[in-house]
Order: sequence, then C-alpha cells, then structure tokens
Amino acid sequence: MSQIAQTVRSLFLIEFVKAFGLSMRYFFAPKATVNYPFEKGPVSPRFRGEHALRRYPNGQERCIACKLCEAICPAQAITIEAGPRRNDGTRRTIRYDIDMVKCIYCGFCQEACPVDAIVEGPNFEFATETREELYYDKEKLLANGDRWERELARNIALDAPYR
Amino acid sequence: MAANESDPCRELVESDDRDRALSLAFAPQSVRADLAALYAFNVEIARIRDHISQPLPGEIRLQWWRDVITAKAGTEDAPGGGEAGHPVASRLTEVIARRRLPVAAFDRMLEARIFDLYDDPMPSRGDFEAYAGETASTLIVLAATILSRDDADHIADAAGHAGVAQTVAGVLRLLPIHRARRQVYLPADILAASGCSPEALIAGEAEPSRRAIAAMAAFGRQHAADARRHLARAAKPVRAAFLPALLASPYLNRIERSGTGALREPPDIAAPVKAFRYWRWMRG
Repeated sequence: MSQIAQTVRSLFLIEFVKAFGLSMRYFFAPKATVNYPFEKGPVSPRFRGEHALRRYPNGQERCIACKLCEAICPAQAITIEAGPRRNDGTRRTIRYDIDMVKCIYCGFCQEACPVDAIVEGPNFEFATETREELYYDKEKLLANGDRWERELARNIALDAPYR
Repeated sequence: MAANESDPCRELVESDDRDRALSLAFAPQSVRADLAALYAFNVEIARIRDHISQPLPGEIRLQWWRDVITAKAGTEDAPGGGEAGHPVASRLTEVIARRRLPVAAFDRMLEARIFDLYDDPMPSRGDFEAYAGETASTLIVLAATILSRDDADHIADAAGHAGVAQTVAGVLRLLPIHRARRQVYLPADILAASGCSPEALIAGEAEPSRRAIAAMAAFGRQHAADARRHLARAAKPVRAAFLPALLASPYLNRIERSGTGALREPPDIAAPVKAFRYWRWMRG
C-alpha cells in the first residue's frame, strides 16, 4: 500500500507542488524583515531613547532649573547649574549636561520633572564615533526637543493612563 | 488677564477634568481664572501617578509642590527654581496670596495624594472618608473661599459629604485603570462586608465585584444625600464650587446600572446633560 502511495506521490509531483505552494505563500506574505535604515520597526510610546529638553508652544523653555532630575538620577549623569533669577521671576539653567555614557535610561529624570521638560524620546539612532559627542549639553538637548516635539507630546499622552 | 491671552490652567482643566471645566462656566467671570488655577493644581497633583513608574519620583514631585507653595507663603525664595516658569504653580501661588487661601489646606491635599503613589489597599471606610476629605472636600472649600469668603465658613459639612460622594464616584469610574495598576481604593471593610476581596476585584470576578460596586455606590449615595441636605442651607454664591460634586449621584446610578461593566469601561454623562444639571442646580 505504501509502495502505491509513494508511486502516486512521485508520479503527480505532490511534494514539488506542496513545496512550490509554500514558497509562493511566503513570496506574497508580508515580510518579516525591515529594510533598515530606510524602514524601521514600531517603537512603543514608552520607549526610553535619546534625551530631549522640551519647550512650550510659545517657544519658552520648560525647564525651570529645579534640579529634581539631577537629584533623582541614580547614575549621576545629569549636571545642572541654575542661572540667576530673571526680571520676570523665572530661573533658567545656564548649564544642563547629560553624560549619555553614564545614563542607564531608567527614565527617573522624566518622571520627576514637574514641567515635563526633560524626556526620553523615541530616537535610538544617536551612535557616535567619539565619546565626546555623547556628552550632551543644553543646546543639543533643546535641539533634540525641537526636532522630536510632535512625537514626544504624542507619546506622553498615549502612555499616561497605562503606567 | 487679558481676554485674548491663553490661560494654560484653563486649558489643562479642559483637557483633563471636564466636569470642573464645565462648572467654570457657571462661576462669575471675575473668579474663573482663579478657580481654573486651583483646579489645574488639582489636576497636576492627581495625575502624578500617571507619570511615574515607581513611588519615589512621585514623592519628589509632591515635595516640590509643597516647597513651592509653602516657600511662597513664607515669602522666602523657593528652593530649586521655584514656581516662576511653571504655568500652573506661578498662577496658583499668585491666587493663594491674593485670595489669602490657607496654605495648610494645600499641604493636606499633597499629603493625602501620597496614597495614590503606592498600591496599598484602602484600609477602612474612615480612611477613605479622610482621603476624600483632604482631596475633594478641601478643593470644594478652597473653591468656595474664592467664590465668596464670607459664605465659605458655613459649608464645611456640605463640602465634606459632597467630597466623599464625588470621590466614591471617581474611584468607581477609574476602576479599569486602578485594576490595571493593581490599586484598590474600595475600603477593605466594604469589600469584606460585600463578600469581595481586593484580589477578586482586581481579577474582575463578576459576582463579588458587582456586590462590592453596589455597596460602594450605596455608600456614596448616602453621602450625596447628606451633602444635598446640608447644601440646601448653603448660600447661592458658593454653589458653583459644588457643581462637579453634585454629579456624583447620576454617576453612581449609571455605574450601578452598568454592574460589572464598570470594571472595564467607565460610564460617562454627555456634556449637554451635565450642563443642564449644572444649570438646574444653580437655578434651584
């Protein structure tokens, strides 16, 4: 009986047809791979990537130099110097440095910030060729904030009810 | 504030606290901005839990608010930046100073909010009433003080009951989120009396949860009835402070009707219906 079945399978090329069908199914199925860096996989709203300092819609810096992020940072990666109080009563940082080599991406800085100024954004592509480039200063962080603001605001709103 | 200037406090209340935002429309124009600052402060401290993954950053945020408010009241420089630059804190401290609001009340609100940061179950009915008294009731009293300082002295009982009723409706409406975080605001004695346990509520076991929700709604309704009785004697100028709390009864009715549906999707009231109820209460 098995001899007959084997003959029929060989005669009608059943294995070949099944293998061809399987190949064709995967040929038309959605790709499991992405063509990085031109395509990227989905990133969770709570992804903690490169840091950014945000501004209010009117362009004013959010950071009020309260130093809570510096205080809570377990890796002591943040260094802040507060400037003198200005005429309008506000106080701003004159230095806001993050040592990205020390940072452990725990997200405590953004959780402690009372004005949602310092955030960890969705950007994970900030590899550099030298270590010095990973010592971020205030200008770099504000530039990151300007560049990613739309995604940052959306992620904060999306993730808030699920913590 | 100029009419065309945007008010960040009002925007925050409108996006995160619709009931109170709608009640602002029934308050006199002259106090709306001050009430918005107060309600925005409440939004800020109530949503701290939404922004943290562990209690420590939350405690730091609450301490920052405490420092800002007490330092401003003592006219000393607030530590670490102070309130200036924070859109809500700067307006709130200005309102506290101008309206001579009691700083101790804000301190109590911040102290009570520490409970939100941890997942400890609510021990008893008394603890729940204390929590509600120091959060929602205190907010009503502060809002009434802004509306009419003289009349606010006579509304303590009404504010106490209204705050508890409002908090009961609030925690029942937030059940899906609290369950996801494994938080239980329903007092342990109410849960025990209704044959439910914190674990059963978190797991969403239908029958025990339905009984617990019904018991909690009855507890809230009792306070809502007491609030209404005391409120009958309250002066008209302070009524706007009670509007969001007076929605507790309709919310509780809907929650009880939905049964275990409240475990998954909180029932809501349409904005025009809320506005109509507000209008009727202000008129009556």
